[in-house]
Amino acid sequence: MPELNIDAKVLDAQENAVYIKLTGFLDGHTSPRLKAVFEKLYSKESVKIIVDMAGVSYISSTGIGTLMGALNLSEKNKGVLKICSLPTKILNIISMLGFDQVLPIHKTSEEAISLL
Amino acid sequence: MITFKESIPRDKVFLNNVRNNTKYFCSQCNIRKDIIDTIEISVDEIIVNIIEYSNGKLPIEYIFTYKDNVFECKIIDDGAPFDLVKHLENIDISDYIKKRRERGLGLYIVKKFMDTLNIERKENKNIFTLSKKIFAKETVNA
Repeated sequence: MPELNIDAKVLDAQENAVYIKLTGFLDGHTSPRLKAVFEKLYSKESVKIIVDMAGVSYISSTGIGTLMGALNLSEKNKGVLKICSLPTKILNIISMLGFDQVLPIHKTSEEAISLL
Repeated sequence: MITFKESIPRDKVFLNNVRNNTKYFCSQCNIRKDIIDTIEISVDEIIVNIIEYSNGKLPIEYIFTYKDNVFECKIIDDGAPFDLVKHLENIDISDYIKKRRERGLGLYIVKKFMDTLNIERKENKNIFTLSKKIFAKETVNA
């Protein structure tokens, strides 16, 4: 399994909606690649991103910080960020640290897409 | 007593190896999976901090022990002296969340998930010690 696979596809070109499916782990080594993807996508205004984390097996503080950074970028550029399908392990870590209070987390991709 | 010891180069590509060793060691100690998850991230955070900030030259050594239901991890690094107390004093998690800060959370995580986090300076090296008592209900035998 690759350390982090970032599979991004356009969900709706008119709506500037992009679906990013992550597989692997989000740590101090891999997170900068994801951060670069967010920075590129949010360089345009009004971009909507759904991040599907079903395939993520580990997240560190750098990974959480990358998601926080994406949220900041989305708001700065009038975009939208939705994070969905977090495995229990990942959701537990994020919740224990209190970041579930600010990160836009949704149970399923269907729910996240419906709220775009 | 169960022990494990390894040295890794100062490169983040080795973080996953450390995490796999942490998980394997803790599972050998019959620690419950959700508790292993918190130990895994704690060890990872210390090592990534060392790689990013300490400017040491030698490989990073880490030693796990499990004795009398206490998990302990020592991480030894030849980098610059580190003022742990000062660093932890400056961390306010509610401020992090409120201001949506993106960096600097690592040691807070360790402090939250482990019972103790200490650092001592010996022979020009920093020795980080993390420990956590594992209660019976936190084992797979519970």
